[in-house]
Amino acid sequence: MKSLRIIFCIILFSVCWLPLSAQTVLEGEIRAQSGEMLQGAGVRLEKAARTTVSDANGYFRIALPSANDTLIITHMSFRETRIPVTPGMPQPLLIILERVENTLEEVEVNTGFYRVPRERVTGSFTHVDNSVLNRSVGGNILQRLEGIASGVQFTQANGTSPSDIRVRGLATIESSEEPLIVVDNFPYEGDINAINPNDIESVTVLKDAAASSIWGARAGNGVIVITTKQGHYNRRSHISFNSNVTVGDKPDLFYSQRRLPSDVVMQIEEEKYKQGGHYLPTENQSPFPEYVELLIKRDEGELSEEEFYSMETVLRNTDVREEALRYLYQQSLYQQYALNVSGGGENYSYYLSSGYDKNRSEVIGNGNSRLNLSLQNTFKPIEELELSVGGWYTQSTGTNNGLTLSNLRGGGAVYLSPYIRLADENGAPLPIIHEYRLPYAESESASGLLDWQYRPLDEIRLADHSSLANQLRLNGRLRFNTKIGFSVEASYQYVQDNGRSTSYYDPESYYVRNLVNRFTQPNGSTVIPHGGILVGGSEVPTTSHSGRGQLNYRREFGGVHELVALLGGEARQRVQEQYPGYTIYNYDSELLTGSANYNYTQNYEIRPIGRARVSPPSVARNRYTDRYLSYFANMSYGYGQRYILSASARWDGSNLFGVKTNQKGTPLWSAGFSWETSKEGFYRFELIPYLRWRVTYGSAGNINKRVSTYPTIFHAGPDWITGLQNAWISSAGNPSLRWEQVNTLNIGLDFSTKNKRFSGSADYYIKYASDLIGADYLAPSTGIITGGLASNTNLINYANLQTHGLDFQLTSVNVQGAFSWQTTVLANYVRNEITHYNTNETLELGSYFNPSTTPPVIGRSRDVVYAQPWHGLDHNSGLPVIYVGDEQSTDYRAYWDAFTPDQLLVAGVSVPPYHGSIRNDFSWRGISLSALISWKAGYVFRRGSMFPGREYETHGAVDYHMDYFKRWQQPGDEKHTNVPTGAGANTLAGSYAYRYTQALISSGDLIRLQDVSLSYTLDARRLGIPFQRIRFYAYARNLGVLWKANRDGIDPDFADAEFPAPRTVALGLQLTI
Amino acid sequence: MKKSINWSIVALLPLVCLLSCGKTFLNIKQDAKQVVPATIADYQAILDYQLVMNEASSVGLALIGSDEYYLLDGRLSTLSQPFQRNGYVWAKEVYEGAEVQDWNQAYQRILYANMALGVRDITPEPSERQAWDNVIGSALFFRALNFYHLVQLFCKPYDPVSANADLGIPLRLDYDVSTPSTRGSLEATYRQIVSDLETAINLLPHTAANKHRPSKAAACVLLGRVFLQRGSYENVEHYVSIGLESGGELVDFNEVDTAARYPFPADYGQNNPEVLFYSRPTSLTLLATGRFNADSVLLKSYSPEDLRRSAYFYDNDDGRVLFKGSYLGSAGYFSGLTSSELWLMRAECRARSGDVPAAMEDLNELLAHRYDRNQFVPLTASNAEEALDIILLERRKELFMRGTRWEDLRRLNKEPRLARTVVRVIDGQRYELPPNDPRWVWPIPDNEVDLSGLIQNAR
Repeated sequence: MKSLRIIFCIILFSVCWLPLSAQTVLEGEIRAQSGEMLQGAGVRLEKAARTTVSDANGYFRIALPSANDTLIITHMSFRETRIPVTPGMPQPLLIILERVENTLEEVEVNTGFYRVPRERVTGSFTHVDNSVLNRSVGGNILQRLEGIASGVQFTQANGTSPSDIRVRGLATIESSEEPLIVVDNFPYEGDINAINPNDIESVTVLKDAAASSIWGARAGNGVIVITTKQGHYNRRSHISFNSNVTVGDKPDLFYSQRRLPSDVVMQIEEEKYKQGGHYLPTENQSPFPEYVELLIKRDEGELSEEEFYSMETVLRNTDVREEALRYLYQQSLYQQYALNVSGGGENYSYYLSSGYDKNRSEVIGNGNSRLNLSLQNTFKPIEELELSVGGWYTQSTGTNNGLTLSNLRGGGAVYLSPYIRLADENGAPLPIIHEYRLPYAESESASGLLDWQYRPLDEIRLADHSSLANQLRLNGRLRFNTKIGFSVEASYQYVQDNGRSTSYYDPESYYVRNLVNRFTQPNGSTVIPHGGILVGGSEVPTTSHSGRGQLNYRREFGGVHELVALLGGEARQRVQEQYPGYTIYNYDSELLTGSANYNYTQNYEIRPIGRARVSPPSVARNRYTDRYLSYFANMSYGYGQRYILSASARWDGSNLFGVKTNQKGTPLWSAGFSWETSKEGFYRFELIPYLRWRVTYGSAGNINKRVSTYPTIFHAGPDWITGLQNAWISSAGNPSLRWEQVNTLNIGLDFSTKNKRFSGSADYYIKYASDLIGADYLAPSTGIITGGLASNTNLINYANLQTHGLDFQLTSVNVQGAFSWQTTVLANYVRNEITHYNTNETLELGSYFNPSTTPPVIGRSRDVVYAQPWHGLDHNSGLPVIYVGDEQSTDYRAYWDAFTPDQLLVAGVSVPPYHGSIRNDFSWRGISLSALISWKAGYVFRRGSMFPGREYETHGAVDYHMDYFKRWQQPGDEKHTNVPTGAGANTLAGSYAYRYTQALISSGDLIRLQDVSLSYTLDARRLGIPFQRIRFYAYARNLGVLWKANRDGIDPDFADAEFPAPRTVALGLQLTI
Repeated sequence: MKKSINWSIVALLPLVCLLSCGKTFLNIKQDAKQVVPATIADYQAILDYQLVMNEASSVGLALIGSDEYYLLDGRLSTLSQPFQRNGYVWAKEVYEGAEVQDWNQAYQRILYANMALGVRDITPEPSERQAWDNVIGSALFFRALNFYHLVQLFCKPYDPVSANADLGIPLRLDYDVSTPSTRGSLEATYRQIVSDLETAINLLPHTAANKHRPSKAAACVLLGRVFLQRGSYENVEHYVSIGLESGGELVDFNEVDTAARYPFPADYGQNNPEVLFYSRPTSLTLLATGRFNADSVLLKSYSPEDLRRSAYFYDNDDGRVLFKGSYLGSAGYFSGLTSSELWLMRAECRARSGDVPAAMEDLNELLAHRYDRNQFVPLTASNAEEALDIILLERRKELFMRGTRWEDLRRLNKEPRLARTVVRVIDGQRYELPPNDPRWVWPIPDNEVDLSGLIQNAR
């Protein structure tokens, strides 16, 4: 009932004000511990039953009681405070309130267009405030939302980019699935990593139509609104310094099952070698594995048995993963420093910040750094006028010289040899098989060419790949408030992104030596000089201008009516340029000289075989201009503090599709209603003193930049062979294109029990995505062919998708007092289903098993995982049992060819329909501990295995897998294994009757201890040092899986990965002055 | 109150401004390089997109199916692409559901040609007339060339008796993707090809600015091929003679370094006067140096003084004889049109009409450029039949691996004296393709049949 009273007070406020006279008044000021002046706190005299609320300066006046009484101060975000008052006590009172973290209704949500207290919205929002954002440590703001924000699902564990995120599931089939990111009220299309999380005040996720449709045609996938920290008026300067160091473990290279020990691989290679036909010498010198070269040398008498044996023993005892861990990987180290100063006077406020992040990757030679500087000022020259200007600058650098395990793969039939060594006993770099056969590389070097061997450890040192990116963001806002409820606002933002990357190759690097050798002519003359090479990447600067004009109106009248409305327009332009990169040969890295004067048209003979040109200078020059024009209106009408009616409308146009469609634009709208039942006179349910219903419906859009209305061609410039201007057809035209549309119905309930012991919300939603772009399969005789440059011509708006789900959030205050314990539970359910689509019936069966090519099918989820049935292994052969018709068969190809998609089993979905988290926060004195446990359920993944004969493949498709040791070896084994027998050659059985069967589908369900955060805050003032507060903190992430359904040792979040995300531990310190 | 009204007007001003300038604001192109084709230069640029128009020419199945090469045991089953594995032995099931590049690429080029024909909506200024003609002529040439290639793969060999009943290929004549595809008669297909080419030769220049572009002579080679298929030898001679007026120049192999790894210049035919039109097929694993063996019987037919033996072939270390005589000047095959074909076609027609001396004169004109000039003795024939046999053998020797052998085998199979059964023996199995077997026609791609309901070829 407390919140009811607070609002009651607000209504009474203006009525009570006048009758008070100075002598009978109790005055006071209400502040937070931080010094912030608290507006809107409810002030009540218990016995006298008088109430008021504090004003914008936290100031209140209330009629002084005639007898002793108790003053009760209530505020949504603060603990209720009771103060005994006596007539004639000293005035004014200074009342400091203690903040209550994470309560449901404390917040004011920012939609990017307006800010509104949580309890006055009808839509569905997830608000993540500063204290929750700050419980984790790291350089990326989005990563901090994982497991924290209700309705936000990370499809990629530890994801850092918008594409790793789904807000309330899917709303499209072919178009972008990324939510719209808004930073400081404007869409943000830059690199999210340029944003310093230390500068972020809060994040709001707009989930339903009432929340997001104000963002119109780009809100279909949800909107994530990021708000940066601002200064405050009338607050003394605060200086805050934050620093932390995060150490990550070396990656667990032994995690991946797709390896076999050296001796097994050597045995396989020897078998293949003896069998013949596998290691055929080719003119282009496709390489053979190192061990095969040894075998050849032995057989040709170049190696004695003893020499061979000793070399073989070395290989047998080598494991490339140990080598890689020793020479290629290290512990990662992330350092973060942030300093900010904020404060303000009566008509001026400022926020100044700087940050420096430095990351040493787990790969030796890789790392990056980021420098952030920002300054924001707000001026209030006259009471009505507020002017804000801000600037943010980010500089990011990266070096990318490291090599990973996968970089050690050789070409041709080599794959990753598990026995290769990177350095000898003395640590000197050793060569590995790379692009050519070893004897060829050796003989060519001997005959006068440059050394043609590839030594990974030298390469880390001899190449320098670096990148630099700058981002500048400027914005300004002018707001004029009138006394009669209107305010006018104009805002503008400019963003400039630029970056460049360079690769320098030392004359002794493999890159240079290989190029020189390849172009060495039969007569020995060279084309490419044996000097350094500098390659500059293409530069892609982006500038965007956004401007918005907005008229706001707010009025309360008749004591029970409240009207808030806004009307505005926005224009945006984003221009992305592309400038060509360059290649400088014979580059001297000290004098910075070089040449590019070559004959780029001559078709030189190259080694080992063929002809090639010196790669010509790039001419990649492009300009992409995206323009958007929008008009929007939004209103909300509240009656009697119980009913709120909201509505919004928006019109969007863009230049994406072609002139005619552009001008049509798309109108989008939403409507919502909320009812605070607990405020009704008839409401008597004291267990739940706060109960509010919300219902909204409305539409948002989504765009697809790949399609075009008109027959269009792309000019490619003069052809490098013919010199003629040429152009390719990008579309044969599609006159009926329009924006995708997503209609969302949301029904929500907010509640809290007495004293907020439990509080929470539940939202059920259905998203109807219609007019989705879908492929309309065209016969190839139309000329629109698979892989053709105009293949997007077959994309038209006709498909529909439906997503429904439930977001549930519950906060439980378990223990309150000096020791407090609070639990927050998030539970989300979301499922999508394709409701209209023309499935391509001609697709090969194989495309049903690859997530990127799985065709959408009506009645199925977009995330469906298919499987073939599994009937176990044959008792005699150890190969999969298959049935063609009702007959058992061994003709695997016929089985595959006859297998039609409708025979496929739906094994499940790849994205968890159930997910959530449990967060426990404990605090005692200055110590607080928070642990986040996340869970996922109801989904499956396809795991790898050994496939009969695939380890015997001749070409690049070699597959190794530890299931080799579980393979069927004798009759009877089929009782305890599903792994087919080994075979001397690819039997097809593996690919056609095992790989995609149910036998290799595992449940992905898991419970993960995602992170633990511990901090100790010291009130430094008591220590007599010039700090206000010192906070020590520790944070550990990727702590491991607590429980998982599969028993194969696979972390479902990293099923295909070389290694799961290494555990990281951070230690940090925050000083506030 | 008065003041507030003022403010709301001020506030609305930017909105009014946005509304009024909105239309022009959105008219800018999203991608600077993106254009709705509107000028003659735009249409020409489409045809000059050589990556589509001149690459991956649709002769892959023709090369695979003909008798110019063979594979050794063990080198067939390891091929990963079904159409190569099955195509080599003319299996009943060829594609195993996969798409067919010869079909796809041809129709993509036909789409390009059809879109370029949009140039006909422009009324050219007199000064633009030549450029305008060239676009139309080139587009018709490209369309005809690709129709022709498709016909050789997917339709029965031409037979005047049944041509009105035999199935042709879908004749796509505009770029509207919503037009359904159907198979008309083979006669209608050939008529379309002939009419496209007869229009084209009057519009195309005598020599093109570039070998990637068609010329009048190139169109004549193609018309010659078309009429050869139809058995209309007077027409062949007529058009070939027109072609020889501007495109008869030959390269003298005595001037070529035949010992070189690649004797011909790797310059896309620019400096090879024989090349009238440049194109090449996509590279196929079974025809690559790792597996290829030149047909041994054919190899024996090159006499010692024939420079083509050393210009075209080399002996590999492992005993196989490999091809190096591509006019690409590198390891790929050449499928363009050349002047030597003009000489060979006219010789053939003259032999067929009984004019033996004229026939041998044309042939010897070519051979004089092919044989060692110190040892060359012009060939003679005592009768028309002998002359034809000599000419057809020289045709085979000359046009080795150009993609023409398949269509020659098909048409000659109609003549009992010249018909032959092609035989493959591999991995202990013998495969035969007798004359006029239905497998001389490749099946229509499975996905095309599924999506457009075309009638499948009998096999």
